[in-house]
Formats: sequence, C-alpha cells, structure tokens
Amino acid sequence: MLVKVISAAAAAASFGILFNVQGGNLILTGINGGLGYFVFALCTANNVESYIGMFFASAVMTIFAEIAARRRKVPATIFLAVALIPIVPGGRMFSFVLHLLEGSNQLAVADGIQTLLESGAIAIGIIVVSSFTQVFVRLKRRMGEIL
Amino acid sequence: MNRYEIGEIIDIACRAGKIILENGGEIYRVEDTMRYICSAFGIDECDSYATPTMIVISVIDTKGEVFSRMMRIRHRGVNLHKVEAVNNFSRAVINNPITPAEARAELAAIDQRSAYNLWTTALAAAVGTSAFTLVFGGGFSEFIFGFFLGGLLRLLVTLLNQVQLGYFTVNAMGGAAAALGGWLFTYFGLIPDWWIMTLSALMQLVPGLIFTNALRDAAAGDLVSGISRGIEALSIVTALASGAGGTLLLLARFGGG
Repeated sequence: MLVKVISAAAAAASFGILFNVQGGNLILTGINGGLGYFVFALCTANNVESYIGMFFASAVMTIFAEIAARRRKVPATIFLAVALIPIVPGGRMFSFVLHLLEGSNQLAVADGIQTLLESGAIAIGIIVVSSFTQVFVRLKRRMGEIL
Repeated sequence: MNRYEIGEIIDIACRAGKIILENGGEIYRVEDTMRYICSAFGIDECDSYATPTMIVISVIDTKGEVFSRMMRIRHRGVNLHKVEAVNNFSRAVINNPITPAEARAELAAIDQRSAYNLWTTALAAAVGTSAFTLVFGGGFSEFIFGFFLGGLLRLLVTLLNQVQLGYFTVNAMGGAAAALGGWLFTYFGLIPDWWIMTLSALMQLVPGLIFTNALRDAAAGDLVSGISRGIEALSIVTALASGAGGTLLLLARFGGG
C-alpha cells in the first residue's frame, strides 16, 4: 500500500506540472494526492465500498486544500483539482465506453454505474466540506466581531 | 461615469472571467470575480453568468441605462497558475484601486505568462505514467516502459493540438496511439498485458476530473454548466475509446494479436 500511496503522490505532483501548478504549490498538491489515495486505500482494505472510500478521500482532500489555500492565499482548486486525479474514475469511464464498443453490454453497464457512483461520491465529498467551510468561516468572523 | 468608461470596466471584468474559465477555474469563481471587479471600479448593480462555453455580464449605471457584453469561450484547458494569478489580481484591485488601463495591461500580462516548456511537460507525463502503472498494480517492466509511452503520448498530443486538429480528433488519435503502444510492448513480450500500460498512459487524457466537476456544478446549482461539462467528458471519453478500440480491433484482425 505504501508503494501505491507514494506513486499516487508522485502522479499527482507530475500531473501538476501538466496543469501548470508552480513552486511550493506543486509539493502540496502531491502530498494531497498521496493523502487522498491513502484514505481511499485504507477504506478499501477494510472492505468498504469503493465509492464510500472515495467520498471520505475527497472530503479529507478538500479539508487539506481549504487549509492550504488559506495559508498560501490562493484558490483551493490549485491543491484539489490535480490531487483528485489518482482517485477519480477516469479509467473506469474509458473502460465503460470500450466495453460498449466491444459489445460487452453487461460489463459496460457495471462500469457506467460504478463511474456515476464514484464521481458522484467524490463531488458530494467536495461540496459538503466546502459548504461547511463557508459556514465555519462566517461563524468565526461573527464570533470575532462579538468578542 | 460615461459610456466609454463603463464599457472599459465591463471589458476588464470579461477578460478576467475569460482567463479563469479558459484555464480550469470554477463557474462560481468566474461569476464572483466579474462582480468583484465591477464593484471595485464603482459599478454596484451588476450581474454575471458563466457556462463552460460563454460568459455574459450586464450592468446598470446610476441613470438606469443598461450595458452588457457577451464573450464566447472556445478554448478550454487547465492552467492553474493563471487562475491563481487572476485571483490575486482581483484581490489586489479591490484593496487598492488602479486605473482601467493598468488593469487591462496587467490582465494581458497574466494571459501571456508561459507554462512549463514542452520537454518538462513530456517528462512530467512520463513520470506520471510510470507512477500510475504502480497505482494500478503493474510490475517493474510496466513501470519502465510506461515512462516512454507516457512521454511519447504527451509529445504527440501537444503536436496535434498545435496544428489545431480539434479536441475530438486529438483524443481519438491519442487513444489509438496509447493502445498501439501497449499492444506493441505486449507483442514483443516486454510487458505481460497491454491494459495497465495503456490505461496509465491515457490518464493524462481521460476526463475523470471533468466529469466529477460536472456533477459538482450540477449539485451547486449551476445546471447548464453541469450538463455541458458532462457532455464534454462523455465526448472526450468516446473519442479516446473509439481510437483505442478501433486500433485494437484492427490489430486483432491483421496483427495476429
């Protein structure tokens, strides 16, 4: 598992170069990619459904990205978009269409449903965390005004 | 504020939004940035709307006259450094006002900023492909040869993009090249199976992220963007799979694979 986590981090960092992430942000992107894959692998190792693992992974990655974004004063997407690549079901989407073309409809349907579940779970993970972050920031500001 | 000045401010807001949208920023970030820039220059009543293929802005001046502007977005890539730069720009404009001419020059400078050069990105794609072979459970031989396939695929895709072949054809040819590469390595007995290798090389093209962002947009209430990003992802993956599938079919028939 350690090898896979380190490879996911390396993959995220090198894809960061393709998407023109620069300087120290690149290292943080790589760390976030590895972190997300670690959470996902931890869930999978404990026999949790893959899409639930992806939900937790994307939630943890969004928390990391929001914190890093506030520290470095840049949009959270910089740390999130590329770091998500090792877990988003891009490969499964590819095999979905490939199976359709081969005529293996049952395999295609399974892949298609899995793609929907997995990317849906990742999107929900991001949305839940970022809405709570906004509420949290607003609350903190209001508390600051009162105190 | 006269017509000319308002037009100039709208133009700055549109250009800022366009840079964010063309380089992979979120829809709400585009819309918010355009509104922030307008209010920083003293226009209070402003509404903006963005989808992955266009942006619209409409403002009302103090006399009640309406001005609007639409910009078509034809190019969609990811260059997160530019998104970051425009974000810093809009933050700076709100805090210490500058003249419209300065703002426009600054945006033009951001848009001209260069990305990593071709060889750096090819090397990054090569390393990324090698890393992905391990993530997908590949062995040592796949790790080594994935490096070459990933780098070569990146060079090919960059070249095809440079001659402006259109994203569908570029992706179809990319899929074909990755499948051919994987098949050749397998044919010569260098790797046990083409699948992990081809998939790892294609990770730089598959639209998993676009599809996730589509669902994210839809859940955030940007329904039109959700639909267009979803269709974008589907057509990219269809192009990749038809390129790869067609190649494998031909190879199976004539190559004796």
